[in-house]
Amino acid sequence: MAFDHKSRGWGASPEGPEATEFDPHHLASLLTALRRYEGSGNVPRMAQERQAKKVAPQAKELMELGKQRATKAAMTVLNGMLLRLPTFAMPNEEQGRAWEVNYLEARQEGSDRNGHI
Amino acid sequence: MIEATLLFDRHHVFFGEIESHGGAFRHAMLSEAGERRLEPNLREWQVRGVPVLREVARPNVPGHPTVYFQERVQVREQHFLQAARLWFENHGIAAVTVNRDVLRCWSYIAQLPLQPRERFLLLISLRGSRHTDLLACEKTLIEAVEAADMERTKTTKAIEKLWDRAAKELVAQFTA
Repeated sequence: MAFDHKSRGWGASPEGPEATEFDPHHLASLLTALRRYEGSGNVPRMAQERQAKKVAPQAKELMELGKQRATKAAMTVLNGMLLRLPTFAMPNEEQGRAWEVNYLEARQEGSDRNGHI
Repeated sequence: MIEATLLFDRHHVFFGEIESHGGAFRHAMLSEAGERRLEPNLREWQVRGVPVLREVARPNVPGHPTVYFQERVQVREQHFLQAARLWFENHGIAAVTVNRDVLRCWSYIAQLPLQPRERFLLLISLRGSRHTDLLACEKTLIEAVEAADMERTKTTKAIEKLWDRAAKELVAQFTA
């Protein structure tokens, strides 16, 4: 049986869509991991890129989940503190930023300052 | 007295901090977003001063018109902070002047994985708190930063493990 070079990354065209839709950050992560293994020098570039593309969605998902967990962990600690802090009415798009800042400033300083408190 | 003024854009993205003493400029530390937006202005202010629009009524002229003119407040003047705050306000930038205790709390808030808006509101809430409450809040903020860091470390390890498995699989394919 003939060795399929192309499926293993050799000889694949660098002009193809696989070569253009590529996030170098993921390849860098894979290359860092590859350095730990003997024989990683035998892995052709195209195969590295293909593997990086294949694994990238899982890495992104892990990153997203990690961010959510970090936020949840921080909020769990902050929860008690937030309950004790003064709460503010949330401004909306129509009311705009100026209203919000004036409102908050007015709450802080006990003056009107166009916040109409 | 040293004042610290924290700057935010209209989406509550942190732009940096301006430190002043008795209203006169001391130094500025800008975030990446702040550098992009404000660095040219701060450079110009250091040389030419902060532009301020003034208005005067002309009672001696028929119709008593109001005349507007621009003047420059030098950064070493005690009116610098006032002039800068006015400039920020006119350019859609929120300038929040805080004391040392709140500034310390902000250094922890800035590390929390929250939305810019949540950070901003937290800062404003703390700004209105009493000194004793602030000390307790600072302790809580440190704990929150540590809790988030712990999760970040776990995530980093999980991602490293994922890439490690992918590398191992790839090497096995080409050394077989």
